[in-house]
Amino acid sequence: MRNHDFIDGLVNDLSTPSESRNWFSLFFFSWLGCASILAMFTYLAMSFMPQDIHLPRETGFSFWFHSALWFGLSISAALTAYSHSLIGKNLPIYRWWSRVFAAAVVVSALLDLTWSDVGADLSREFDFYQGPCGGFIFTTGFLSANWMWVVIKRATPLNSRRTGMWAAASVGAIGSGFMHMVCTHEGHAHELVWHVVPLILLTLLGAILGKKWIRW
Amino acid sequence: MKELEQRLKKRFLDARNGDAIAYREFLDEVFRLMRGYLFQSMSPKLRSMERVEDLAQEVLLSIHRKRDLYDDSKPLLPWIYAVARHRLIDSIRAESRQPECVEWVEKFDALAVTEIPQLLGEDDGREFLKGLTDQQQQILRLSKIEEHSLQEIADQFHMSISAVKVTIHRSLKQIRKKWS
Repeated sequence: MRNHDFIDGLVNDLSTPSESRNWFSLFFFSWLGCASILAMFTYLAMSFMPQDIHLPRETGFSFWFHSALWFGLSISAALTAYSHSLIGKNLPIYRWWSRVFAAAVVVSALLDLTWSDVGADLSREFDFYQGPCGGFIFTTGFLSANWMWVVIKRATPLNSRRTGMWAAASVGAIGSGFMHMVCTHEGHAHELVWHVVPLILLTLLGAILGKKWIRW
Repeated sequence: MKELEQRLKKRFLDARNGDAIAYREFLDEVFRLMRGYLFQSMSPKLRSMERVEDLAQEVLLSIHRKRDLYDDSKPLLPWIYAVARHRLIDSIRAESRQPECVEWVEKFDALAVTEIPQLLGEDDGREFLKGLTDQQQQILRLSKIEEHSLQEIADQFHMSISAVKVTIHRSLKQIRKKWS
């Protein structure tokens, strides 16, 4: 198309709202929507479990500490994804906090293991019946991440890989956090294998797919 | 540079408030800037005026679609150049994934070799060339009527052989589309 006609077309389109209008609200409410849906799905999934569930589960310092880590990771990863989505908004502080929370989640899961009996603990976890929460976290996280990537495409992410990765980590961590609160399996090995590892896999998938799918 | 930044920013902000004249001036000036920038940034093997102008149009389109994401408190030129760099990298990646139809040129060449010289040589051959740029017309004449080799044409226009092939292919495609 000749350049003059092309520019005419853009000028005529000026009055049409751009796709990037109110993007912050779109991002924020999308993330909140994913969180709400994940909470609802977690509750429904638990309602259909055959075990007798006593909610709230026993809580102590460890329970609240780990819950804070999960939700802290989710919020900081969401802020990191947001800052990566906009040119000139790349704030290192968000990235720093996300890395701190991510490291804390992994390290605390490893430290909580009973190292004297770690082989037996881990081998017990590699059992289909121990794993529904991991599948749930991965599946719901993947579906939510897809939605977040669609939203991020309306922005201007210069590094699609990192943006996709943090978006996936953010929604995955919400699922892991809710699952942590209601999961009836108490072992620390279970937490590592079926809550932390699915999140790591989801994050890696976010990096790979983000590079391909987040194109603007 | 400071004057340019201030001028462009004022026009852009006026455009965001609905001033169509300011937007046109902004787009015209950014298009000229981008043409120069992209021409310098592209590899000589991939560079051609058409490709540069296509890419410059894509940059303008991206700026148009994402205009509400620009933060007023920050400089405008770095934002524009960041968009341009992203589009350029995307274009290079797309080219490496799917090189533009070089084999197709051979196929179309075989079909066109009997038809096009006659059309281009006739008085009303000019009709067929309407809509093509001067460079496209010249390249088509050199290759189809005067039967210059691709290397000779590439040397004359300071282009790569691939760029010459792509230019011929696009010109023929345009002619076919117009007359089909």
